[in-house]
Amino acid sequence: MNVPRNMQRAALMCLAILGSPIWLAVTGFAGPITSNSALPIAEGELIVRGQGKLIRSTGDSTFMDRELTVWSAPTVFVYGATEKLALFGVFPYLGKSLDITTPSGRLTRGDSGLGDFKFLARYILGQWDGPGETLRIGPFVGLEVPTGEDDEADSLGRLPQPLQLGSGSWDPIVGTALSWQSLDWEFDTSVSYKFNTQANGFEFGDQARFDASFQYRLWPRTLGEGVPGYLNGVVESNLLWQDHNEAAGLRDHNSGGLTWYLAAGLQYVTKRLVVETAVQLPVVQNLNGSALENDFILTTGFRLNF
Amino acid sequence: MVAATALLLMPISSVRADDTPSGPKAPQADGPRVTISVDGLSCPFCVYGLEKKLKKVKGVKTVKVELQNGLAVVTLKAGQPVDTEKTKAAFRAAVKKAGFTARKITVSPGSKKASKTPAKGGGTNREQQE
Repeated sequence: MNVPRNMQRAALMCLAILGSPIWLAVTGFAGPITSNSALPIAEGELIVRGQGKLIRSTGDSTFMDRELTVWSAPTVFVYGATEKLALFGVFPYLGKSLDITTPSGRLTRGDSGLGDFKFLARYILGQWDGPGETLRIGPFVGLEVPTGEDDEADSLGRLPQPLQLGSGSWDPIVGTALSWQSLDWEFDTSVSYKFNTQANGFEFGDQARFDASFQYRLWPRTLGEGVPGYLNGVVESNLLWQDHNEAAGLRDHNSGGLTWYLAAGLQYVTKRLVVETAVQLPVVQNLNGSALENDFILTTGFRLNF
Repeated sequence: MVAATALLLMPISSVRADDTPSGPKAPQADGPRVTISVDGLSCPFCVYGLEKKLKKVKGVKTVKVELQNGLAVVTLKAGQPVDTEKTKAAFRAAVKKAGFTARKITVSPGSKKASKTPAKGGGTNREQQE
């Protein structure tokens, strides 16, 4: 049984979100929750970030009553090669589950396991430091490598490509991030583009992202001596565009589209540890064709200085 | 029994407190102090990397960061010979490696006891600013 194309599209948009550039949010600073920053990591230092993401797509009005659940738990290692050059490795463990009603009953298809690894390098091209504030710009390049299984099958046959754990393709990523941080607040924005390439006769559409994040210190209201912990309120915006997919050289007109998410979250920041959570809600989902839309994305995670 | 045990323990603890050649424990002397104004320091999570880099500088005893003022206060080991210019350069480099900018570095003498220690590098008893 094949997964309907609009369900594939929903899965694709989920994957695009799961593939969000959380790696670059792992810096020597607190940073945004769902998007990039240009803030540094000290030379020779290591930061580890763990994150859990849950995406639900429901509300199918057809008899199929489709429900898609995608979860991901990426572990990110960040190493400061120099004070300006940071290297990122992203190692996701993820699961995808599609429930669908058929004439023979309710079926579930999906898989879980390691996904595609990502490796990135970011260089701080511009840095302006002042008392209690900094402004930085950091372009980055990366590559998603096909480490995830891309030929999994169940009793119904080979899983459709969007339900595979890996894309099977080598996909370059380019972008740039800008961060402006003060003692009271931080603003981050970034643009990125992922060139998805062909594998297994299938090519996911390219992805472009425009993200912005604003973090504001809610507590303590006034800073005391030493290094107090911060409780930040976080508001973020994620604009995601994806081109049409191609299967066997033919463009799938029921794929790709534009999605805009707004997120609200909380973040507690200390010297060694950051814990955070955010919920992203879709404001605009202008997907090509008739797609099942995402309900929400829940993100929780931590960052640890070693 | 409890009272007897307490009586037995009291002299032991008092012996421990005074069990130094100079009698009651004297406050430990501090070495020279280096105060660094760090630009770009604006979040608790970034302080950790800065502290680690400063602690790796030779002769450092303690590091204390005041986030609000963007200050890192480094206490050197007592008797540590200090060449002011070399010290400033070492800390400036450490701050840079942490990803920040050292704006002003001040080297001050340590506590009275420490300042009586003969200094080899010169400049340890004078506050010098860059």
